[in-house]
Amino acid sequence: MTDLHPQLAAHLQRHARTLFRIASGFGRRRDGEDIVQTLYARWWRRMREEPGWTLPETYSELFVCVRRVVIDVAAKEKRDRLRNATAGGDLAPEPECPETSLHAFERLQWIVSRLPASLAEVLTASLSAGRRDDATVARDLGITLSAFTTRLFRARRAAEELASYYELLPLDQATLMAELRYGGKTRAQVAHELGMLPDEVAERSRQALDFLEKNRRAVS
Amino acid sequence: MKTSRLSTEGRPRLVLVRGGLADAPTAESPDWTDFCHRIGWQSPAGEPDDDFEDRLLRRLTEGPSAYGNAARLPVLHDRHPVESGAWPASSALAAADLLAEPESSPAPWGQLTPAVEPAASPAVEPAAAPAVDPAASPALEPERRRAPWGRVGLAAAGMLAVAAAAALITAKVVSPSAPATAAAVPERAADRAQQAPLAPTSQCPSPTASDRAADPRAPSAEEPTNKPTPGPTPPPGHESAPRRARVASRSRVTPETDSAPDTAPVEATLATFRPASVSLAPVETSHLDIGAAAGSQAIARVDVPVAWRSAGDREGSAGWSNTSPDRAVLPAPDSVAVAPAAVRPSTHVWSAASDASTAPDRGRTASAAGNWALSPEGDRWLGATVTPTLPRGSAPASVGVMAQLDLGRAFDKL
Repeated sequence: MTDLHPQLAAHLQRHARTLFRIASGFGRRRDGEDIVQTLYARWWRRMREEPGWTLPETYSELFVCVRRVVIDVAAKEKRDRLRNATAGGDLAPEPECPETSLHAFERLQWIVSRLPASLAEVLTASLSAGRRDDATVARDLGITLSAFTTRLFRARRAAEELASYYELLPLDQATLMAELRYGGKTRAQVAHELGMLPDEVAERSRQALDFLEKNRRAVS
Repeated sequence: MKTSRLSTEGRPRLVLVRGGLADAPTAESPDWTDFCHRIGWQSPAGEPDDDFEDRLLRRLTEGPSAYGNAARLPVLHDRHPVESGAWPASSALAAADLLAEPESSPAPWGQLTPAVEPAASPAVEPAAAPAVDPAASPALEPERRRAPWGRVGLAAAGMLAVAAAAALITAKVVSPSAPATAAAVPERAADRAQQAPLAPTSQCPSPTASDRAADPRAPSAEEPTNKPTPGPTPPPGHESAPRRARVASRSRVTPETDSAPDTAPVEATLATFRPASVSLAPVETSHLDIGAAAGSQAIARVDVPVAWRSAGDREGSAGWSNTSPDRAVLPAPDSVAVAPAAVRPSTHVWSAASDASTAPDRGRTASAAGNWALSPEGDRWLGATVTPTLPRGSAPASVGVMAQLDLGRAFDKL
């Protein structure tokens, strides 16, 4: 029996449930304990290798750490599925609910990675802590509660818009729209990065907006 | 204060209670729940058990080497027998993969292709050498696909088999320190090119000796082809012993430089077959009938180079020559890595009757027809990494092993 590092043990008592909740939010409730254990095993090793390293404490940091492990697990599952399919064996059983599948996780990844940093920080912290603990999250982020509420509102609007891009548009067009809308770049910069002409970028964005507007009318 | 003044008999009273009805801990507003659903976030369905922290702590600290003990991770699945199928690779090896830091588990090794792939070249005939061809062994296939370690194990087994065979049968092991007369290399290559000119094939783009002689930019036969920055060439006879050894070792696997003294008798025989090129002294096995080349004479050879792979994903190799510029710079390996790649069973067969000779691979040792070559540049290759612990920038320790088997003599002895 090896004694756990005191700081790590204290951290586990404080944040293990939060980490489990985050893993569940990523759709990994069925193996959330495994993910948390893997995470603490990594941290334990890192504390031994780098004594000056400090454990993550904020909600945003915890979110990022759990996401890293979930990415590894998801990638491994994908590899295993491909390997089984290549070998001609039975495919691994898909999760019952489609939302718990990899698609939901990839969508969340796509959205969070394209949000502006300040909005992504607020949103991930709020997702990690839950909506009932806004004051704690605001204190954790070092901002006032009103500022947190305002920023979270903007983050929700942006995330919903990105979700509509992701759902309705082809991936390249969705990425283009996300870059134009939240990338903080000019059209010329986006066109240069994507290797397109500015007119082409404008035309494609106009087509995307038209499609989104048409869909919005159809829904309403 | 008298209680009589507080008498409220017959009157309605207002009772204030602290707080209110406690909502369920997981209850969220429908609006927030819908938002989470839209962006792909799963609302937690419930809290873990009360002993969640204690259980987690116990599992982390149990075992002889707690944080590195990956074998205990699957124990978690025992509590969820129904859900255990959701993690199909709940094995110790799989858990060990997850224990690695994200930065240390990049995709390249995970995206490795299976060790054995269908033969791309129609000239490759798996039936030509069933004893060595890994693709012709379906029993090995699932094992190899399970983990790259299986491929490494196969490579190690192959090396051991080669070593054992070399000890038991009449084998010729070419060591890097074998003497060679490097000055005679271009002459012999040019002579053979004149005697047996071959029509170029699509698989044989490597230049001949005469082409290299005509091209001043091409490295000469005396020069090690995989030297990063060729310096001034010392005059013949002034080369250092290690340099001569390098030249000798590389000349054995370079198409144009197969002029080692011990190969001369064989070359005379091979000239009658007019091969595209001969890299290593092949041993004639006149009684060996490989696959479709019935009645023909064939050469069997096994090259077992040892390669390393540095952190920069650049491969270095010892024991074969390489004319590719980017591969000419051998990295200083600073990490232990096993490079499982595909094995290339080259089962091309010479045929004296048809006078056909298959072409060697592009840019590397020109494998004579009927060769078995295990090299990192082929389509199929198994390699194991030596663990040089030299600091970055130091000369890499390279080990090259090449074994040549005379299967015909072996079969004769059997």
